[in-house]
Amino acid sequence: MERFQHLRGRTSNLFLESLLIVALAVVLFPFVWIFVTSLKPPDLVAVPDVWIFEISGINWRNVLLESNIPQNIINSLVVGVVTVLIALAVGCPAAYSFSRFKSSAATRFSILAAEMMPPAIMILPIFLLLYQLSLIDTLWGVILAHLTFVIPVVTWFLIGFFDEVPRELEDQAMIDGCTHFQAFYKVILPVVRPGLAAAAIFGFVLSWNDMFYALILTGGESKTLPVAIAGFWTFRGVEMGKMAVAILIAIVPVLIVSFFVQKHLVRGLGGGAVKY
Amino acid sequence: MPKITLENIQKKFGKNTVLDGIDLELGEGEFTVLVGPSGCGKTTLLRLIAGLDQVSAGKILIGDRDVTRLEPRERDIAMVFQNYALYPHMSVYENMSFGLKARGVDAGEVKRRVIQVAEMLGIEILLNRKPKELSGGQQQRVAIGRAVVRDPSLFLFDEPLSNLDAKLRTEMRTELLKLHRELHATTVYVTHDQEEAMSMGDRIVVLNDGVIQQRGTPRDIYFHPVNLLVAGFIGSPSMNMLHGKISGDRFASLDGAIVVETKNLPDGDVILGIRPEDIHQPADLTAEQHGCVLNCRIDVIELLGARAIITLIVVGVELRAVIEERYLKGISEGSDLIVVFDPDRFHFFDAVTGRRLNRDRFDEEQGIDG
Ligand SMILES: Nc1ncnc2c1ncn2[C@@H]1O[C@H](COP(=O)(O)OP(=O)(O)O)[C@@H](O)[C@H]1O
Ligand SMILES: [Mg+2]
Repeated sequence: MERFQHLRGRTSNLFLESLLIVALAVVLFPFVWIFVTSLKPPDLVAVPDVWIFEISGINWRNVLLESNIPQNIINSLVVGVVTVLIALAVGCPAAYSFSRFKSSAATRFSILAAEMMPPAIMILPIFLLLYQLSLIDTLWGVILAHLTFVIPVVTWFLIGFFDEVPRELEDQAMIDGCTHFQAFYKVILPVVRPGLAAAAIFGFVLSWNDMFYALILTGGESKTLPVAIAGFWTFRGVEMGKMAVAILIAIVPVLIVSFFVQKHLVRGLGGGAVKY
Repeated sequence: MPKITLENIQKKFGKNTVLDGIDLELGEGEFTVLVGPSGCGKTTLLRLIAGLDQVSAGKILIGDRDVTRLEPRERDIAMVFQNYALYPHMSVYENMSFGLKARGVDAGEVKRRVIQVAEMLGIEILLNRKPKELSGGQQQRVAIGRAVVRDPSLFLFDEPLSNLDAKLRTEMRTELLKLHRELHATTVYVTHDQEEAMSMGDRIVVLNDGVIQQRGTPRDIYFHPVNLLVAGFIGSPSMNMLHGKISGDRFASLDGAIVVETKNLPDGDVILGIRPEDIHQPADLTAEQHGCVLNCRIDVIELLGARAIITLIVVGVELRAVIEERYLKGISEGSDLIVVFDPDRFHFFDAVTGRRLNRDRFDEEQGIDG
């Protein structure tokens, strides 16, 4: 009987494992395909089912040395980093306040309210505002637009981390001679550092990946990487090889960094909701 | 002049009144134990004294300095929290020196004091560890060390031993008392464990329902509880309570099982309290102490070691008694047992108000209302 159960456990494990492999294959295949494509010589790029060919570096050379993509990467980096820094500066104290001063679940969810709307609703007012401020086609314009969704997400993300820090820790710091604010940055912030790192990366990825706002608000010199990638879709057709290279550049850093903070990412995504 | 004075402290959370008029004076160097059941407001009171929460009404004085509206950092108080609240990202040394540094003590002095206190508590080899690398008992010591090193004018302990296992708890209890003898620091020690309270306090303050029920030495509180709340809370197993009536200097329990003579007590509905320790075997008391002899049936026997708790049934009423192990030989669950009570140890309480009715010599001395 016991042995039978053991056996059954093993077969069901086998079943689950094969499911997992299928799922992984479905998820990972496009990456593999893009990688393969990026190495194809130009005449084979548009032929999907060729797997054996002479590896060529021409796409990589074209993109890295003869296109605007490096500038677009720098733009995306600047936008992402500045957005995240501002979002953390605003989101940390906000999340701390939501965590410490009694806030209902509804209040907490209202942080994400703007996220629930389709961005198409937001873009028109944002465009008009930025136009008035002469910030269209500037990196600051994109940063401001990105802040509208990165701040709420970072705030939401951090609430859960602050909730896990026992209140007594800052009480102790205040008894030990700190002001409330000193207790916050000398004791509480260092304790939630993993959360800060994860929130920063998550916020950065949101900004880095954004295509919608950037497409409408930038052009020319201020184009971010996703917009530039879309630009390979020209009226002469899709420049598949170059596009593949740019896509790889866009996703690989994100994948690597996310891997290191995955544990904290999952924790943060639960946000402040779990405690209720 | 008392070191700490609480005047009519009130604390409300919304509509919920947690503390309702606490008056308390702590003398210099005194070790006061504040005891009460969970949720009675002990932590709240400590937080008010520390300045972590604001009083709804009332005044807090340290010496003659009114600190009611001061920030925690301005009060010169150290507190040991129930969960220790060690800074997890700092080493033991950094934990202990944090408060001194925040107060601008110079580095050499900080180091000297931290090492001195660490040696006193036997934690000097732990100074470079992080809190998560310490056992519960070690964390406890660090938390105490962090308080001691500051040399504050008042120590607050919030159930510091409740997270330790039983053996460590008794050890730390003794050690804390030794520490207090050494430092003579004014201390408020909170616990929900009445046994801990009895064994530690010079002075015990019993808190319940947001008011101080009684204050006194452990003996006062054990032998002369002023009301049913205190009587029921102090002592383990807790006091047996029998509803009954007094008329014409005679108490009779409702079912008539127990009848005893009384002296100088008014007629009316009362509750008779008998501590399990005050139920004896006939051989233990002299004949004139046999105020009441009862024939009971033994329901349950719980052996604790040298002593046993037995649950007795008399005409449907349950009584718990503590007897010495040697008396267990002839008896078993289900058999009969004759027990006697010493009437001097009876506690009578008003059935309506719950207040103590006996006025013995002690009560006269203390001027406690009967
Ligand atoms: N910040 C707060 N907000 C609302 N109610 C509270 C708060 N802190 C404590 N209470 C309430 O006050 C009462 C006493 O709590 P506490 O002082 O922690 O009790 P104890 O420490 O004696 O177990 C409890 O009923 C608790 O629910
Ligand atoms: Mg408590």
